[in-house]
This record gives sequence, structure tokens and C-alpha cells, in this order.
Amino acid sequence: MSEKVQVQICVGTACHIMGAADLVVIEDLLDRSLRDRVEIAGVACMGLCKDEASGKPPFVVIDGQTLSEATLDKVLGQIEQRARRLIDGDTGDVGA
Amino acid sequence: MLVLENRATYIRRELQAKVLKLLFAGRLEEEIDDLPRKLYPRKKDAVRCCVYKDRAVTAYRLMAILGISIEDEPDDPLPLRHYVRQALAREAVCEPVLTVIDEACSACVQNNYYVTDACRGCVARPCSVNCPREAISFQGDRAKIDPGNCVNCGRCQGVCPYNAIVYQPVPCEEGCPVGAIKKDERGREYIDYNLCIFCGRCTRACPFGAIMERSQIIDVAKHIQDGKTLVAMVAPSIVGQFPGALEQTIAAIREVGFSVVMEVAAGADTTARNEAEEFVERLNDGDGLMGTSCCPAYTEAVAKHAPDFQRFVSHTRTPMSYTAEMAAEHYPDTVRVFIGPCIAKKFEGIHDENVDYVLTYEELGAFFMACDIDTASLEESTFDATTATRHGRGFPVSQGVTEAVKHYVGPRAAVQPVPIDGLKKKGLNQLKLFAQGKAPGNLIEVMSCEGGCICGPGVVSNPKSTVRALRAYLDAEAKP
Repeated sequence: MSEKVQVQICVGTACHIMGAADLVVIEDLLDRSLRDRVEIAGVACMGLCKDEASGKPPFVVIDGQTLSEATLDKVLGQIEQRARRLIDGDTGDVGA
Repeated sequence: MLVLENRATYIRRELQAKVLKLLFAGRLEEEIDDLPRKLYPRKKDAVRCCVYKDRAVTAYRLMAILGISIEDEPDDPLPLRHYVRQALAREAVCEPVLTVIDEACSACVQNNYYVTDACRGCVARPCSVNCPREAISFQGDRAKIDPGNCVNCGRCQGVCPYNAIVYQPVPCEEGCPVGAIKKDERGREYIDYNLCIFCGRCTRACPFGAIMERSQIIDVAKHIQDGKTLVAMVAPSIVGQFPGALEQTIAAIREVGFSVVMEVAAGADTTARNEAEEFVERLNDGDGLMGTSCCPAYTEAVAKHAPDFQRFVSHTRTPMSYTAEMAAEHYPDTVRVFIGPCIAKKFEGIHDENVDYVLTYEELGAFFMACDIDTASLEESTFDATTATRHGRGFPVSQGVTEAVKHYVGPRAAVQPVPIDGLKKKGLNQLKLFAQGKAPGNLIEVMSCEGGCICGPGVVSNPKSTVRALRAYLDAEAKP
């Protein structure tokens, strides 16, 4: 079982209103070659919206790192970067 | 079709929530004047020419959210706290329901056609040869359109072999079905209220967010703070607007401070029943056709732009009107608030003695955010004393009204529906023709918003998902 990029999209009310509803299509936009290296889940309100220090909704957490004012573009960029690193890591193992 | 996924929407929603949050914290008056600066600090990249302009426009947005007409601003600007006091002191809301932030208007092109760099100044020059107004001249080796002569006919664009001429729309004007929004002498837009039908399309079409509805959130919030008894009358398109089940959204509305939550679908059933009776009567009387009456933007459009059709518009009142009447009967001495997807309902509400305020789902969402309410985490609740059926609940999608009326007409008459789904200039012309007896059917259903109310300017969620949610809700109900 290979490692996956863990993506949590907050589907709490504030995130939903501020744009998270549009983020759930992200799975369809993901490059085919990366799909089996990414795990995307909608999660209940994580309370990030209640603390101004975490930034503004909508929030997406990627491998434990919080992304605020998440947009399709921002989230896709992050996911692809991390997923490619994972894949490169795999091929590195094979060579060793 | 309406596209709400953009930064203008984000900014509007963020500011609405911030205003309510500060109000509930008791700090609105003292802190509102700091908001524009906090949102656009000097270090931040400006969206417009500079942060100072961003701040100025933000201040105007806040005024609209406080329910103020920006057009009324005196030359010596007043601090925002002055408008907070004014908003908190007002007894009732008044017309107009829209306001234009002229400072935010980018004064889009006067001419819709523009010659781009792709022009090669060719020898054939079909653009200039085919222009009926001699509006095209050549400067160096580039065509140029003289805005004084151009009549926006578009012929030049059609004949250019290099596709070098582009069409640049003026989004608000393009969105307006009745030509009510136009340029002043400086090229900035204003609304001609002799023509406006309050559909609200311009507010969502403008990429600069320069047109806003005058919000009533402050008025509603004030009554909540004062401990008044509030009745929420919720339109049937609420299904799917917020995360979780509908029953959780009802609970969230109670959490905000509404003591009673009524279903406007019950009023929609009354509308459909009465409209069915009227339809049968009219056919028997030889009228030949009847128009629906529930969409206030369309009825206003008939009054202002197709008066010949007026006599065919059903005299039946709207779902909001019947629901508000029920509310006034059952719950006298309450503050009655309609919550829906519609901006024109704000206009209708001002003229309905049983309706005190009208909020959009977006504005309801601002209350949820300000009160830190997470709908999906709440215990389910139900509507108070509702009599609604699936027929009334089906109103918010195009042809839902027709289906409901058809159901109540039953075998008494043959309903031949003519839907006008999304009112545009063409639809208005159709109505004029129908008034002359040229209708291809007998029940004319008009929805100002394409797709029906569920696609209205005040929705939170994308209609793609809410239409599906509503259908699932209706189907689940149909099962025993």
C-alpha cells in the first residue's frame, strides 16, 4: 500500500458559503496519473473559521497543513506538487 | 446562467458576516470605520489602483450592507458609524431595493466593438468597406473605431478575416432585460427606476460588484437583539442551500433567533389552488389564456414594459403573500421575515403589509457565519404548522408552478403550458404578442431567473446541486 496525499475539504457552513461547495469537484480535475496517490474527503467543520489567525474560509487541509481562502487552483497546485514528490520517491526506491 | 463563483461574491459575503458579527458583539458602531483599513492594509497588494480606492469602495459596500442608498451620500462624506446609527434607528425599509456604487463602476466601454492587436491593416479592409457609419479609420496600419459614429452593429467583426475585432460586453447592461441600467455623462452606470424590475441580475453580473442590493440584515438583527418574536418564512428553494439536511437548516434558523419557521411552500399550494380556479374560470369566460403571478420581477416587467399583457396576469397572490397572511393571523405582533433566493421579493415585501423584511439565502448565511452556526452539526427541527404538499414545494424550478396548477386544475380543463424560462427582451416581446391572441398555449408561466427561483441571485449553492437536492427531497416525500 503506497502512501497517499491526504486532502480534507471542510464542508462546514462557513466554508460552504465562502466557496467550499465548488471545491468538491476537485477529484474530477485531478490529473489521471495522480488519482490513485490522492485521498480526498469532505470533513465536518474543523473550527478553523472561528480563529482569525488561521486565515479566511474556505479551508482545506493537505497532509496536515492548513490552506486558507482555498481555491481550485491553489488546492490543485498543492496536491499535484505533493503527489509528484510521492511518485518520484517511489521510483527512487526502485533504483536503490 | 448565473455564475456566482467569483471574488465579488466572496467579498460581499465576507463583509455581510463581519458586519453582523460586530453588531452582535456590540462593537459595530465603534469599529466599522476601521474595517476598510483592516481589510486593505497598506502592505497588501491593491486590487484597484491603490489600497485607498479599495478602502473607499469597501466603505460603500458596507453602506449598502447597512441598507443605505449610496446615491444619497452628501458631498462631505460621513463616517460609517453615522450610517450604523441611521440603520439601527429606522423603523421600516424603503425603496429602491438596489444601489449603485458609482466609485466601484469601472465605466466599461461605450462601444462594444474593439480592434485588437491582431489587426494587420490589410489591403482589403472589409471592416471599413462594410461599416454603414464610416466609423472605421486607419491609423498607421491598424483599424480604429470612432466611438462617436459606431452604432454597435457588429458588421466589422463579422467580416474581419483575422478575427481581429472583439465584442466587449457591458456585463450589467447585458444582464438587464429591460434596459434600466445605463451610463451617465461620465460613462458610469445608474439605474432608471422607471424601467427597473428589480430582478437583481445586474448586481451579480457586474465584475466590479458595483451594484448591490440594500441589505436588511441590520434591521432583522436589531429585532433579534431587542428580543422580539421573529417569524421566518422560508421559500421552497432552501433545499440544498446549506450543508446537512433541510431539517438542520431549519434548526439553524431557530438558532439565529427566529421563534417560528414557516414553509412558504404552503403559500405556494394556496397560490396554485387559486390560480387553478382562476384558470378554469378564465377559460370558461373565453379569456383564452392566463399568465402566472408569483414572480415579482416578471409582474413588474409586465406593468412597466408589456402593459397589454397585464389583464392576462393572474390576480392570485404570491406564495409569500399567502404565507405572510397566515403568519399574521397565527402569530400577530411578530416581526415577519421572508427568506428566499430573490432580490425582487425585497421590492414585493415593501408593498406587502404582512411582510416586514426580506432576506436572501446569502444573507441568512451571513447570520450563520456571524453566529458560528454549523448547520450540519445541529439536531433536526421541522417547520411550524405546515400544510405544504409536494406541489407547492416544486415551485422553485422552472415549470414547477405549471405542474402544480395543472394538478389542481385536474380534468376540468386542458392545460397547454407555455414556459418563459428566464425573462429577456425576447420573452417580453412574446408576452406582447400573446396579449394579441398569438399564444401557442393557455397557461403562460414566466420565471425572471433562468431555471426558476432556485437559480435566483440570492442563492448560496450552485443550482446544479440544489436542483438535484430538491428533486431527491420531493421524491423521498412521494414515497409512503
